[in-house]
Amino acid sequence: MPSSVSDRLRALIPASLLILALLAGVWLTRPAEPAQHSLRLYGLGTLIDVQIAGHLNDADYVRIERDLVARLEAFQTRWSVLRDGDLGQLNATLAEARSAPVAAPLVPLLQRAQDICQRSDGRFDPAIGRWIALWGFENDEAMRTTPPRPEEISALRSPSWCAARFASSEAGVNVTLPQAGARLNFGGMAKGEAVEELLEVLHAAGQRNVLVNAGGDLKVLGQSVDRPWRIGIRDPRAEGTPQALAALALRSGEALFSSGDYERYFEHAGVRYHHLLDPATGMPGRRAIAATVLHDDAALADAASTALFIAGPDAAPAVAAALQVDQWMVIDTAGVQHTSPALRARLEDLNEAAPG
Amino acid sequence: MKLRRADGLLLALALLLEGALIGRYWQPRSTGHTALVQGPTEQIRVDLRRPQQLQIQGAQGPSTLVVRDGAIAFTDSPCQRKLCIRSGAHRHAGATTACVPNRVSVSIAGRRVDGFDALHY
Repeated sequence: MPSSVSDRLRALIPASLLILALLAGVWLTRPAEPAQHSLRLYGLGTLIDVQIAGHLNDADYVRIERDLVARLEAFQTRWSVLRDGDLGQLNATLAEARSAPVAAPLVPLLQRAQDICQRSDGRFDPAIGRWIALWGFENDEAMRTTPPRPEEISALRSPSWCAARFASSEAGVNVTLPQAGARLNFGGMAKGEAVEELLEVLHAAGQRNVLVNAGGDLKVLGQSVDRPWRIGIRDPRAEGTPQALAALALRSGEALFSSGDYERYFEHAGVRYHHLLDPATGMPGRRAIAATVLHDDAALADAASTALFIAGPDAAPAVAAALQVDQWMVIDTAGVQHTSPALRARLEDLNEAAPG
Repeated sequence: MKLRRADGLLLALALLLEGALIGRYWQPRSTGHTALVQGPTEQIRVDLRRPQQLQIQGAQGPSTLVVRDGAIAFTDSPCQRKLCIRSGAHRHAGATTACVPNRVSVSIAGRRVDGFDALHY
């Protein structure tokens, strides 16, 4: 006997309820998208990626972006060798004189740089700016295509920053070098300092879980959305799509900085001429292809990675000890990783076939 | 109450729909299908499943990008060193590349599939 329409509909009720329950289950248990925000700034010759973990409303996002841009712009004016800011004016004076007044905002980093210069036995020296300009590494868009001649290099040898003497008076701080002609370039340390300043802005805005990544050099506060900030260390010789050779979970306040021959370079007659000049010779350092430092102090990590790159794997342990840096890695010219025990204990090796 | 053939069919359909929804919603929302191309004055959302060529005006001139096989790559940019072109094609969620002098960046939506918050180099 045919059933009525209402019977048929009634028969469908349990199935419909079951379907609704299943749909509700799927909807309610879908994975939540992590609350993470990303800001991109251009500065220091690179793209700066700022990641903020946690909820952020639009007004705060806009305010934080505005404050970061303003701080970065002020920093670049102060430290750029190509602008007429505090460092530009100091360089103009030191080009002609052995002594010059130092603008107050420059003093702490200039003094720290002198200390790092001395501790690293001159392997980090910001007073080689004339060589950096000669090689065309002062401005990325004006890089040369052939190396300078040896006589051009020797003609521009400058006094070392290790020999700088600071004198304070009521008028301010004065610096004196053995001779005139130094040109300071803080490309090996300023990025670290800039990252610290950007983190100050974020901290002042109440953000406690942030990552500031300035073209691959970075520092973190707090943690990512649901776990510590996890960083891949890129293989310096991987072409095309980046490959990580190791991974590392960073603790709050840690900075990871590297110096490598892959960052800025030109090739001539099959030889790579990169921007990390050996302060002893004025030529690109040839003892390593990359050096990495992990430390709470981003400016020190930045400068120390430069010093360890110039030092190479043999001298690296002594230089690192002198700089009080215990987590470091140097990759030699054969691609072999030389890693300090303190850093090795924290690295997650992703490429066990790699030498080292 | 006896389930009829049509009811069984309906249930089967519902289960299929369920499977499709699970596939859709139990994944991260962004799985590398969308790239955000950002210039100084404009922003373009690009579907990586559709092969195409696009141009965006940068600070120094136009940058050209090509989408092919689910990946996006710079093919021309007015910068001197062409690092953006040399960086190759990008397809994974969270990947970023940029022509810094031209102020043009490309980022692929979503969290990185390799589980990293950043790549250090």
